[in-house]
Amino acid sequence: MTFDSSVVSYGLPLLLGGLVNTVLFSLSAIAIALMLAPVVAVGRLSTRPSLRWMATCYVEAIRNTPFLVQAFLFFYGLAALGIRVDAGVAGIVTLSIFGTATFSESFRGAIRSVPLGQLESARAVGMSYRLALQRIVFPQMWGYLIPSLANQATGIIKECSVLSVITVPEVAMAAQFVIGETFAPAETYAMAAVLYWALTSTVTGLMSLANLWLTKRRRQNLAASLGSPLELDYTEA
Amino acid sequence: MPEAILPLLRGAIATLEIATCGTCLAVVLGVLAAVVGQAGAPLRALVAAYVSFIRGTPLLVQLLVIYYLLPRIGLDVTPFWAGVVALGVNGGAHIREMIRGALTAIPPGQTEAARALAMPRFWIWARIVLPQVFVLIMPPLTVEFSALLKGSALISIVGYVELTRQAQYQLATSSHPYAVLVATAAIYGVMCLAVGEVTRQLRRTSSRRGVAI
Amino acid sequence: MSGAAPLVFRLEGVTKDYGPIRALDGIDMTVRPGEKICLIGPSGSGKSTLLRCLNYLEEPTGGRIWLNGEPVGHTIDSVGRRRAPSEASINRLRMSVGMVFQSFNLWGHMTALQNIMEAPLRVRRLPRAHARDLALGLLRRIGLEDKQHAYPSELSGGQQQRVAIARALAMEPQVMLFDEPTSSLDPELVSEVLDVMRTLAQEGMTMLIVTHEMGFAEEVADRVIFMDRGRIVETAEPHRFFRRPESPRAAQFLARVVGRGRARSGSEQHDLRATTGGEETETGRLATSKTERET
Repeated sequence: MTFDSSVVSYGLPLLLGGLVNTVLFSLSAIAIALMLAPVVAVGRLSTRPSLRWMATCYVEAIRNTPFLVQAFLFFYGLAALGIRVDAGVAGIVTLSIFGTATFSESFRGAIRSVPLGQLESARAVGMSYRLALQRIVFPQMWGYLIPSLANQATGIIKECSVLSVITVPEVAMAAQFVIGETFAPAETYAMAAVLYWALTSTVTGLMSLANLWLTKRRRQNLAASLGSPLELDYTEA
Repeated sequence: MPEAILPLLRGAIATLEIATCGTCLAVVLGVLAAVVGQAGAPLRALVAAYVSFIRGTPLLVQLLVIYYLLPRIGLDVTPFWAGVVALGVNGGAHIREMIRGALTAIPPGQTEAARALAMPRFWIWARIVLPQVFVLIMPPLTVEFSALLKGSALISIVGYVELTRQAQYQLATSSHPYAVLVATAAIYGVMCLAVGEVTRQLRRTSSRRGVAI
Repeated sequence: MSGAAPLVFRLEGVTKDYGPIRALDGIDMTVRPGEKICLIGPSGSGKSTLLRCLNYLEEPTGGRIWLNGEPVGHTIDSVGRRRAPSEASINRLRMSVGMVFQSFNLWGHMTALQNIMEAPLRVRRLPRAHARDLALGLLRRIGLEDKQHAYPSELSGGQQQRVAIARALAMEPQVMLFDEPTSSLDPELVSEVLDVMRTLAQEGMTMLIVTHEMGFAEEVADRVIFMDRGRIVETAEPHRFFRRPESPRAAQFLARVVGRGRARSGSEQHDLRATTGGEETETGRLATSKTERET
C-alpha cells in the first residue's frame, strides 16, 4: 500500500479551510443550543403536562432519529415551504435543533444530580425558590454539567460532517473536492479525520480546564470539611 | 404516498441487518480491546488512542476512510461489509469503555473478600467479576445498538440500500416528499424507542437482582 | 489454652508504610489458640491495617509474621534478601485465616447460599452436594436458613453480615479476623451480629476483633490491645483496662467514649444515633417498627 504524500501538501490547506467552516457552524449551533436548552430542560421538568409533553416529544424525536434524516427533513421542509436558504444557514438551523435537544438532556441530568435535600434545606432557611436555585443548586451543577456538555458539543462537531451530504461546505465536502483532483480518497479522508480529532480534543481539553477552574473552590471546601483521619486528635474535648 | 411504505419497510429491515452485524463485530472488538488493555502499559496506551480517535472523529469520516482503505489492502468489499466494519470499529471503542466502566462499578470489597477466602485469581474473574460485568453492560449495549441503528443511515452514502437510501429513492418519485421523510423518521423513531424500552426493562431487572447499576 | 500449644500468630517488629506515612510502627504481638483479642483505638491508629497484614491483604513493609510457627509472607533467604511470597503461599495462609469486613462485601449477583458455597467449591474443591450441605448447616447455625435463596440486596445489614461470617466460616479457618464488623450497621441490627460472634467465641474460635463496641469487648475478650498512631500502647485484661487504664492516651480515649456507652470514631461525629444502653429514644422507637417491618 503506497501513501501519496503530495496529497497532504495539496489537500491540507483546502481541508483547513473547510475546518474553519466546521468551527463556525458548530460554534453557532452550540451558542444557540446553550441558550435554548435550559428552557427545554425546565420544560421537561415542568409540572404543567402540556409543557412537559411538548418538550419531551421534541427531545425524544431528535434523539431517536438519525441526524442525516433530520437534515433532509429541514432542508426539504424549508424548500417545501417555499423558503430557499443558503445551505450553510440550513445547516446551522439543523445543528441547532439537534444541539438544543441533546444539551437539554445534559441540563436535565445536571439539575437532577443535585440532591433534593440541598434545595429543601435552602428553602427551610427562608430562601425563595429562585434564590435557592441560584445560590445553592446551580453552583453544584457545574461538576456534572461541564463534562456532559463537552461530550454533547463534540457530538455536534462530529454531526457537522453529515451536513456535507446536503452540500454544506465544511471539511467533508472540501475533502470531496480534494479527492476529485487527487483521486486519493483514503488519504484525504484520513487527513480529515485527524483534523476532526484535533478539533474535538481541543474542545474537550478546554472544557476540562473550565471544569477544573469552576469547581476548584468547591473541591477545596470539600477537602477542608472532611479533614484527614490522621489529623483528628483525640485530645480535643 | 402509501405505495412508498413497503419499500421503506424493506429498507428498515436492511437497516436492522447491518446494525445487528455491526453490533456483533463491535462486541468482539470491544472485548478484545478491553482484554488487550489489561495487559501492560504500551498496549493500554494503544487502546486508549484507539478509543480517543473513534470518539473524536465523525462516524461518516470513519466510514469513508474504511470504505476506501479496504480495497487498498486487498479487501474488495461490498458497501454492506464496509459498513459493518465501520460500525463495528466505532461501536468497539464505546463497548470497551462500557466494560471499563463496569469493572470499576463493581465494589472492590468483593474482590477483596474473594482474595481473603483464598480464591485463585482465575475464579475471582470467572465467578465474581465477569458475571457482574456481563449484567452491567447489557443496558449500555442496547443503547449502543440504538446508536448504530441511527449510524446505519450514513452507510447509504457509500451505496448500501437501507432505510435512508430507500427514502431518497421514494422522494424522487413521490408526490408527497415531506410525508415520505416524516414516515422515514417515524420508522427510525419506532425502532429506537423500542430498543429504549428494552433498555429500561433490563435496568429494572438488574436492579432487582442487586447488581450495582 | 495450654501454654505448650504453638502460637497461632507471632509478630515481630511489623511495620507498614504508605509512602511517608507510617501506619504500623514496630508491632510485637502473639496470639494463642482460642484467644479472643479486641483491638481498640482511635481512627488512624493502625488497627485495621494490622488486621489486614495478618491475611496479607496489606503487605507489611518490615518485620516478620509467623502462623503456627511457619513464617508467613516475606522471607529472608540465606543471603539476607527479602523475598516476596508466592501466590500459592498467600492462598495457603488465607485458607487458615478468615476475615469479616465492615462493609460485608457479599457478592451481589449470588444468593446467600451461593455466597457461602463458592469458596469451599472453588478453593477446597468440595463436591457440590457437600458444599451445599456445609453451607446450609452454617445458615442454620446463624438462623438464616429461610433466606438461603435471597440476594444480598434483599437482606438487612445485620443479615448480610451474618451471611458474611458464615461465608468465612465455610472455609473452616483456624482464626477469624473481624474488621469493625458492626460499624456499618444500624443500632438495632448490631446485637444479632454480636450474638453470632459471642457464640463463635464460646465455641473456642481464635478471634481478633477490631471494634468500637466496648461492652462487647469487655464481655468477650481475653485481652484488649489499645493502639495509637501505629503502636501498641497498652495490652491488658479487659476488666482492668476499662476501669483503670495505665496509659494516659488510653485514659483519654476511654473518657471520651465510655460516657456514651459506645465508642465512636472521629469520622462519625455527624452521627445522630442514640446510644445503646436501654434509653427510650426517638430512634429506639423507630427501630422497633423497622425491625417489625423487616421480619
